[in-house]
Amino acid sequence: MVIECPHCGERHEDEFVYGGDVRHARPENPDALSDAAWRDYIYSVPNTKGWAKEHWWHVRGCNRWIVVQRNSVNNELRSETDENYHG
Amino acid sequence: MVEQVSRLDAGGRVDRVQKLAFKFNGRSYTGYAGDTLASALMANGVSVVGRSFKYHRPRGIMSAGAEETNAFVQILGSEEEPNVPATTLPLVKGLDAHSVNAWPSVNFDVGRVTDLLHRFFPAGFYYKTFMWPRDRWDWYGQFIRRVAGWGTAPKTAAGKRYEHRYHHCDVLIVGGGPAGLAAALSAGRSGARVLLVDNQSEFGGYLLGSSAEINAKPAMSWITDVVAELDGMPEVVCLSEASATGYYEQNFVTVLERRPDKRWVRERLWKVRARQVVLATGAIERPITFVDNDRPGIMLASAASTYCLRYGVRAGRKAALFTNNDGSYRHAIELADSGVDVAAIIDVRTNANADLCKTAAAKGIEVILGSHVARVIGKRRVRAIEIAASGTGAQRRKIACDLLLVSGGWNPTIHLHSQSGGKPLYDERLATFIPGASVQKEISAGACTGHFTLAQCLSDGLLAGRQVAESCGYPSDTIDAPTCTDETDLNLQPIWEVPLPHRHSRAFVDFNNDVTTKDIRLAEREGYRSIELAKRYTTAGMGLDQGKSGNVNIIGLMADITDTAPGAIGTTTYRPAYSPVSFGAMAGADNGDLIIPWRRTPITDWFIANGGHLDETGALFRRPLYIAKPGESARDAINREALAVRNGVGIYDGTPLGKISIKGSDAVTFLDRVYTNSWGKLPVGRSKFGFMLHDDGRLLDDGVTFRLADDHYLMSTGSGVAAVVLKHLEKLLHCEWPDLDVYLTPVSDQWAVICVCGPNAREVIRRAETDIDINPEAFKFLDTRYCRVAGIDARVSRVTYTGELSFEFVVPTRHGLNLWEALLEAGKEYDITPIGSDTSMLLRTEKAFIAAGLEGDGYANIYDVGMGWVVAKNKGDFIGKRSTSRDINLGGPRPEIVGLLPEDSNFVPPKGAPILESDTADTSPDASRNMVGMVTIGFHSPNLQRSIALAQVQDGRSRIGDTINVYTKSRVVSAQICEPVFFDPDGERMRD
Amino acid sequence: MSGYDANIECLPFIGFLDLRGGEAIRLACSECLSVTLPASANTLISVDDERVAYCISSDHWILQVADGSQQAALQSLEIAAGDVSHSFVDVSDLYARIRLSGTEARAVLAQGVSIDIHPRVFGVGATARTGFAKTTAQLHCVDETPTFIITVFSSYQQYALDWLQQAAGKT
Repeated sequence: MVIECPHCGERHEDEFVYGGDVRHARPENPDALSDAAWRDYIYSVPNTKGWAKEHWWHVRGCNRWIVVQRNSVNNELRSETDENYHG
Repeated sequence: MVEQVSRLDAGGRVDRVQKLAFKFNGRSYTGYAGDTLASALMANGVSVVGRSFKYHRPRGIMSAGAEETNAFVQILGSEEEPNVPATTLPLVKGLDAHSVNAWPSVNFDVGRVTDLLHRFFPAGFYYKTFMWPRDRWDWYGQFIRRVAGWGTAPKTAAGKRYEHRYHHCDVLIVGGGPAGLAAALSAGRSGARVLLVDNQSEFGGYLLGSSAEINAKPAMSWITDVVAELDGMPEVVCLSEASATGYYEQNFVTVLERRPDKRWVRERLWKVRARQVVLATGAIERPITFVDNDRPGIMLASAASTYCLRYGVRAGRKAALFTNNDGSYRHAIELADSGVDVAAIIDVRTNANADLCKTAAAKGIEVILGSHVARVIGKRRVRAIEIAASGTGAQRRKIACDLLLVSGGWNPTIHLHSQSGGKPLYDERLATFIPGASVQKEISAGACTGHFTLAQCLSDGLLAGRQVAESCGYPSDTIDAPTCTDETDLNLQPIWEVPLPHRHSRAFVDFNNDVTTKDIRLAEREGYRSIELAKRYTTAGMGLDQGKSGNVNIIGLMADITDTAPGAIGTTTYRPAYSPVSFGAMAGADNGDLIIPWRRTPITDWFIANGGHLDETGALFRRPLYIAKPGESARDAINREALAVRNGVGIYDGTPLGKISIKGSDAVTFLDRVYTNSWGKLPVGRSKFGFMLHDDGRLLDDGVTFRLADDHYLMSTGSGVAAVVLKHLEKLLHCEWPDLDVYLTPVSDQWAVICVCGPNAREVIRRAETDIDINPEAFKFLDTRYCRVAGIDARVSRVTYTGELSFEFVVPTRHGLNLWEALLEAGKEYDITPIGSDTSMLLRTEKAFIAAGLEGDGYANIYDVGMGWVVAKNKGDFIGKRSTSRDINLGGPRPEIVGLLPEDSNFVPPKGAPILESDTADTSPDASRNMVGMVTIGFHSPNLQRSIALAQVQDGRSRIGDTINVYTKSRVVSAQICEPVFFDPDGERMRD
Repeated sequence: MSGYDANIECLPFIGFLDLRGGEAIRLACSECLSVTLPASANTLISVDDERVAYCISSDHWILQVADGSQQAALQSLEIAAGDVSHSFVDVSDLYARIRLSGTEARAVLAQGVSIDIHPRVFGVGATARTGFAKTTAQLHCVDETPTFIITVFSSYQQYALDWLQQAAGKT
């Protein structure tokens, strides 16, 4: 699989480390959440069949975390971005 | 011995000047350069080249290419290799090969008995028979394995290397026949980067063995010109004897090059990333399914032509052709023209092309329409056939022949198209599958699309090459298609099974795996109607040849049986590899020491030279577990090292520790969020122990972080988890807290870490000479200072991994060995002792310094391992806080870390050993249901002169003093639960 | 056996500084070094004969300097950066360099590098941080021979050397 890094261009997947689904930001105040709500935040991962937004770390390249949209059925990829880049 | 009895006097592309001696099944033969093993064997009149998989029936050469179903050999000698098709194996001087799957010999095979008993070996036989009684499977297995299976794995390492090579190109063209070469020509002329691969030893595809003409000259002269032009193009790479074996996502194609240009490379696996792919993979002739259609002397019609015209070998003395299409008449005529006596063409159709019939008749070939082969006479070689008129089965007639050509039509080689994601379509006219719509950037051209005339192949290829080059941004001029000999349409009448003469007759649909039409019928009767299930139940299409020639016959037969259309049955999934790939080629450079990218510290070589017993200890470092003196056992070495640290002085290479530089105005905020404790009050020049959790509350890492300057911290992490911790921190910083002004720089390899530990440590440092005051009052526990030691600039810290007085020196990697040797020299009179990581673990165990990877097991939390004191009480949120509080809210017993003192002080509880209540009488394996804990680490402690262990026990903290049982495979030992810290519980020694 | 036409040689330790910071830091460093630091990943700029700045990503550079000049370079850069958020770290021993040179150097390198190193796309002056064998390397094509400087994390230098020797058919 080739991932198009917004900084480095097309690179082989073994330069990247998978970082899980892009989800809602970590709750601001976890203590305000019930045990059940916190459990859901920690353990309920989307595991989407089809298009999913994922974090990938380009550890053998620019060292940045990028967001990749990957179709989990056929590994089709699109619109990779580095949402947190502040340059 | 008469040499090469079946070699024609002239003709073919072999070099008759270069005679090559070779051995097959122990006998000596000669062939010519340009032969394959198959053509050379055929030239020498060898008919039986192997035995079949299940029934051990004698088998002969069936084809002239990668689709071979029968002639698999084991190459012997220094380049031993199993399961090589003789039809694609170029003959080389001294080649020594033998048949696979024949024992004791190909001519007398004990396994033949299974053929006589074939009625008792139907499809699914193994599943049904050897499953009872259940526990006898292993016993049966040893016999099944001896008789079944193909070649044997080589037992010695290859003398040559296997190589991988990444390759990028604009256009990859698979297949170097007329269509592929035409595509390469038009793409190459555009200036695009082209890779052309072909699995034969020469380019030309089927034209290497054909009488076809291009531009009114023999077709090979056009081929030669094109290859010469391609060779002159700097951006075109042409590989022969190179098979495209797999087509993966994003136009990633693997190509196995079997005879690379470098003599020290045995095989080269190309990992090709192509912007566009042209598949010009050709087509494979398919056999006909009739009684005893596997007898030696029965061969694909096109193969016989190839042997004749390419290799100058007569595949038999007297031939007959059994066909269902017009295209195959050409082969009978080519054979006749080469001097082979062709007795008859037996055609199941009644509407054969009249012109072809006339041409055949003019060559003395009798054309018998509306008939089929009803019987094959001869077991080890065809001697004659009996034919019968179709429909009635009457009017039998015997025809003497020792070569029966068969042609049941042609199957486009759509394997790669299908692997690329394409869905094959059924073509009624050709009665076969053709490529469907392209899914990736790929187009098919030539015979693999069902275009079987030479003119079509050439024009397809030229167009495809131009199109793909253009789509890569390389426009080129149209090349006019050359003129070709006229060819007829196939005009094929599908025939999936010729009626069998009686109940026990067998007609093979998969020669390689010995699957007959009866097996397919049985599978259907037993409910395996889906072609995928029928394949697995009968193993049809699963052999070494992967059903290249047979699969469509199986689908057609299943369609007949179930009264559906072959298109509705569909194909099974085509999976890589198209042709077998050796394990060596898959491994490439991954052999020996290079399997793992071993990392080194500046001290590694010293350990190797001085008795260090190296082993992998995480993070790809091989560290010494202990450093043995000559003749010393592991246990003695570890005991000696551990005693030295407690009573004298030791020295330890801590370089593999992870190190992360943390800079920025928000560094403290960041540390507060990722560690459980508070970092706001740490002064410059001091360090602090921290504990890091995952957000699910499980243990991630513990370690010391130093404050080196106002806004500069250096975090040390466990060696094994350094990469995990970095990922954890970088992800939080990038994805959760992008607003924090913090920069992380991993600097693990920048620094060598050398630790001097033990009561005499201070004396050794003094002797090594340092420019700072190291007295206890001036340089306290957890202080860190820049200094010079032994003439080297260093940072030294009072941190410990052993519980002893320790000085940890950090110097740039290049000075690591100098410092190590200087400290050894300075410590000589104190008998300074290098210690390994096993010793370090033992010393840590004595101190109950827990390891997140041992005592933290994916369930335990920070309180369970006794580290609650590292949790700040009055601090905001941190990673793992909420999950830890949820653990507390959930309540219930927790697995807590305690110490164990075995009753037998010589018994060392092994890591992972289960712990049960001492009143549990049950010692059976099922007793583990009553487990109350497990051992996390155990050692013999020379300092305590007894065995000790740490363990996780339910509610263990409240059970100090209780006795429990530790279970091992061989014995049950009772042990007393105790406080986990066995040595210096107040930690006075390290603060000294 | 002689193997591919490619020579492999370990180079001595040299000076490296790891520079992190935003656009203001890029400009400040550029002014300090008197060349404009590039802002796109996998590009480089030669500061002078011995100094080269590799851009890792738009806020990250590795500055190669002469050995012995690290502290002076760091000091002047720190002054240039002032109070603006940044991180400058001496990483001279974090990296070790290997020179691969010869007419067949690309055939050796292509065995362990998955990016396209064809001279059309990776000619003289090209650089990339990428996977190399089973580790990571900063690649730099320095001449037409071609010659590549392969900079790896220093604990992997022996592995990288052994790997290259095998790939080049020398062992």
